[in-house]
Amino acid sequence: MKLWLTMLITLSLTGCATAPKTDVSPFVALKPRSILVLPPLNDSPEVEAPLVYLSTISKPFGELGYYVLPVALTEQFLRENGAEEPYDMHQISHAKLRDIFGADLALYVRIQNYGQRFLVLNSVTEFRAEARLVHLASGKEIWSGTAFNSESSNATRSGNILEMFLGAALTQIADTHSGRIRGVVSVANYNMLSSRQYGIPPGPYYPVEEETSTETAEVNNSN
Amino acid sequence: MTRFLALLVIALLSGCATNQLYYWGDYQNQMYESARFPGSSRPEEQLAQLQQGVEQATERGLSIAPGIYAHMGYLQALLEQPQAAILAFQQEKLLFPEAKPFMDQLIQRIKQGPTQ
Repeated sequence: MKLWLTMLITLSLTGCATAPKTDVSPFVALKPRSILVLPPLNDSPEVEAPLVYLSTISKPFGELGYYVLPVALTEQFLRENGAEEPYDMHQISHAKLRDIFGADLALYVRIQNYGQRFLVLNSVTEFRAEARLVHLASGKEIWSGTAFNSESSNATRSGNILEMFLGAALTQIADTHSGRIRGVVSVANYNMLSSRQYGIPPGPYYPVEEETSTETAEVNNSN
Repeated sequence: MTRFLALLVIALLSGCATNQLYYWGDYQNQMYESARFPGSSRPEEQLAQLQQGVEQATERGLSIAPGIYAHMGYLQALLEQPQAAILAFQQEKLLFPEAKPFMDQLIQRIKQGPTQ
C-alpha cells in the first residue's frame, strides 16, 4: 500500500514536470494594452528573416486584443534617431522606449533558425525564434516564449520518382517567392502567442463574452 | 500544387478567416514587399492600395487594424503630404488611444517642418 502510494506520488509529480504554464498574474496586475515590437536580432544567415518576422507579428498580437505600434514606422523612427541596427535598438533603455513610444510592453526577439534544409526528395522549411515581453515602466520581463514551426514539402505522395524530384524543385521555386516561409513564420508566431498554455492572455480589445476559464485540471488518479 | 497550397494557407491566414477582430488588408504583405524589394512599388502606389482597402473595409463595417492608419500617415509624410499625414496619425489615435504618445510626437515633428 505504501509502495503503491509512493509510486502514485512519484507519477503525479513527474507528470506535472512539463514546462511551466504562462504566469498570467503580471498581465492581470499590469493590464498591458500596447506592444512595441523591436526589430529582431538575427542569428540566421538570411537577411530577409527579420523582414518576414516584422511583417507577420502585428496580426497575432492585434487579433489577441492588443494595440501593436506600427512596426515599420517605429523601426524607421529608431533608425533616424541613431539606432542603426536591431542590436542598437535592443540596447536602448526601457525608460527611454517608454518615453518615446508610450508602449506598455516591448517585444524582444532573437531569430535562431530560418530557412530551408534540402533533403534528397524533399525540403523542410523551418523557423525558430525566442521572444520576450518586457514591461517598460518596471523593466520586468513578464513573459517569454519560443516560436517554432517546420513544414515539409512532402513530395512523396505518388510513387513516381520523377514527380518526387519535380515536387521538391517546385517547392523550391515557390520558396523563392517567400510565400511558403512567410506562411511558416506566421503560423509559428500565431501558435506561440495564442497557445492556451504558453501564450499570452487576451488583451483589452479582445471580446469579453468568450470567457472560458476551463482549467483542464489533470485528475488522473482514478487507479 | 505546393505553391497553390502555400497561397491557400496565406489566404486563410491573412484575410478570409472568420471571427477576426480587424481588417488587415495588405498592411503586412506590403510592409514585407517594400522592405524586401526596395523600389518594387512606389509609396504612392502603396498608399493608394491601403487607402482603397481601408475604404472598402469601412463600408463593410469592419474595424481597421492597429497600425494601418499610422502606416498610411507614414507614407503620406514620405510623399510630403503633411496635412494628410497628420489626419492619418490623428485617426490612429482616435481608434487606439494607446497610440497617442507616439502619434503626438510624429505630428509635432511634421508641424516643425521638414527634417530630412
